[in-house]
Amino acid sequence: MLTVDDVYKSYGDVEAVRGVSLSLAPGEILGLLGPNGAGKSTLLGMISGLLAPDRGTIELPGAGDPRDPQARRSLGLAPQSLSLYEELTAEENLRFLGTLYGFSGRQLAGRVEYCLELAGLEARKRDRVTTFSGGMKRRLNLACALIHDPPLLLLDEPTVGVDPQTRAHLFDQIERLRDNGKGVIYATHYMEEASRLCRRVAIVDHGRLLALDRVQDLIERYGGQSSVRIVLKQQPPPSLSLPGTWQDGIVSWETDTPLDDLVRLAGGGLEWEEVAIRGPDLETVFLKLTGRSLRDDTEQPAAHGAGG
Amino acid sequence: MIRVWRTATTLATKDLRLLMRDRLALFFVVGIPILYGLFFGAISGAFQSGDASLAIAIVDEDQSPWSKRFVEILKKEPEKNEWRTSMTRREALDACRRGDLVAAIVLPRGFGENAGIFFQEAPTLLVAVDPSRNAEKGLVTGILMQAMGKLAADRLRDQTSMKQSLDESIRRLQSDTSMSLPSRLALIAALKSFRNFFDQLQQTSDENQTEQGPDFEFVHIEQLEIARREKTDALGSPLSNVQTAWDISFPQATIWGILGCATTFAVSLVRERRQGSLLRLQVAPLRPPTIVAGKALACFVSVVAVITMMLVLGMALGMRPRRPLLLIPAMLATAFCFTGIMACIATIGKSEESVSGAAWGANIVMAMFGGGMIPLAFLPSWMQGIGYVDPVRWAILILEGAIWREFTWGEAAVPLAVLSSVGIVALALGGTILRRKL
Repeated sequence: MLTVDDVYKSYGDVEAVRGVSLSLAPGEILGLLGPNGAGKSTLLGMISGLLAPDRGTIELPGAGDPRDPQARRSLGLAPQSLSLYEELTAEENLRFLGTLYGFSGRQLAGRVEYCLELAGLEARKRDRVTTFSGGMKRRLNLACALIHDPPLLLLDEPTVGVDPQTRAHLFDQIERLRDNGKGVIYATHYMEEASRLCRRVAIVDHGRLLALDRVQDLIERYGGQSSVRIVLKQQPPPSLSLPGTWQDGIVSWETDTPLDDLVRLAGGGLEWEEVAIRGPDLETVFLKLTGRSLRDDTEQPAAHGAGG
Repeated sequence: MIRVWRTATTLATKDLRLLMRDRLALFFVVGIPILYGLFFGAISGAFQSGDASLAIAIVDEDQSPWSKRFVEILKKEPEKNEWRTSMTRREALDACRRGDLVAAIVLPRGFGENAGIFFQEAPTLLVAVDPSRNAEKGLVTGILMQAMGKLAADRLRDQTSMKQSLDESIRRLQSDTSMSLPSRLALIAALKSFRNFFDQLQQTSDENQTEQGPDFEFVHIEQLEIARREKTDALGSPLSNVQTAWDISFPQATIWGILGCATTFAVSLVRERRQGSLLRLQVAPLRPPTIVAGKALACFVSVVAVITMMLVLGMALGMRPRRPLLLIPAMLATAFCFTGIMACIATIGKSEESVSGAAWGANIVMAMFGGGMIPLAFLPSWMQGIGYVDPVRWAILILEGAIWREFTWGEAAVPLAVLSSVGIVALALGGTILRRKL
């Protein structure tokens, strides 16, 4: 459907994207994970035809090079920053964009109605966008990307600044689109969103594609061991061998078998006030691959694991 | 091509709708030119109709019949001036110093004795003018000279008084030993011949049973009509109407509307970039020239609308275009020219502030050198020379050509060609830069 083959993009001496390759199948949501400045926006810019790659090729579903305006009919973009005409109504925004894509008459009215329903804005369709809440604007921003019913959707941080209710609504709609056969590239730095929505995830940092695989496979491959942390009630029996470090009444360690370890310790007479087990997830995958937390806006020293 | 046109129309419609909903922008596009037109129209109308009044005090310290007559003449010239005659010299000078009066005129003692008699020593008039109102100084002097001319005419008509004055002069000359005898004899002879002239004049007047003396004026000034009048119809076509103040002020006001329009649309492109909506247009199946064309079309339509609105308003106030057909190409060429300039200005900056600043900076310079701010006639010649490369000058000229200068198609060709050429070059330049930026 979409293929990105070994693309490069530089701004002066800065290499924003370095040899990224990926593909997307219909009905698939591909997560694009990376911190600010990782190269996600540049990659999306090239896929949407806004930027020309210095090297490599991009093929849109059944349409070819996204630099060709007609090829861009096959993609819809919901940018991170809201791209709406605030002095127009929701309906006028959709009508305007629909007309640009060549719709008219009943066909246009049908698409507008569909998008308003998808965004849950039928009751507010004649209100100016400037009167909308942040969540409503986000929903309309997504709806605008769908007005021409494209097979490929590029969603760049679509849930930034929205309340949990709107986030849930957006997730439902994105899953509905996926079920209808749309291919979605979902750029985010929220691990839980990527985990919930995406079958596969691409992890990008410093312009490089560090990993691309199914979420579970990534976790298995890069997630490492579970970490366990217990707060002791009393000093451990001298005969008991502790699996990790013990300091100030707290014992922490990493293991592939956290429950087995806890059963053994309890059997040995260890009593604790609190226990926390954290299994490997995308966050740990990301930390392992890049050496920094995904939500860090600035470079931070690696806590542990490999450097990015 | 049809698709491009349809898309450009869609983009333009959206921009016009946004303009209609932005009250501040709408005010700049519509309100400012109307205010400008009304303001300058009122000013030039006031000057044209003599509404501009001057507050002047006249202090008659002589209180003679001829000084009183002089005050009467002054009060009628021109009637709209505000004459104050009950002040003392001190009060008048203080009022002038405070700025309450433009000038104070003092007729000192003895003024009436010789005033208006050309063969006597000239009377003295004392005049004080507010130093900050130097422009009116010449006007006051002119009023005084005109009044003195009328007083002299009145003197000539009053033959009895004139003969008494001549007799008195002759008597004084006869007893004046300070002058050489030949000079005295020559002057006495001249005055006696005047005395005889007035005797004969009296006799003629008696025979004709009229008391009027000779009626004359120093010079008779007639206004030459520069507008063409060969095409008036039998009913007195509106095209032959005399120009009004609005004829002069509305082309200038229209220019401000056009500049406001162009600036609004120049800024709108950067605004689209800031609010992210430009991204949607770029991702849509549009080529950059189509986006530029959409913006340009919206600007063009708005400029034409502003010109039309100003014309309708001007006509409601009495303006009568003498070449209505010429208005059509004038409007189109002007709109096209400033649409092109808008496209250029839109590419200059990256923020609304920078584009707006650049646009208004350019507007003010263009208006300054092109006669949009101050009539060209008041500018030094080198500035007028710069005006030849200023589209504002050509836009005002072609609008005036259609409204009151009665341009022939041949005369209109030059400004139309200049405006169209500037439009083509600017649009191409702006479009090229914009294509690269998009």
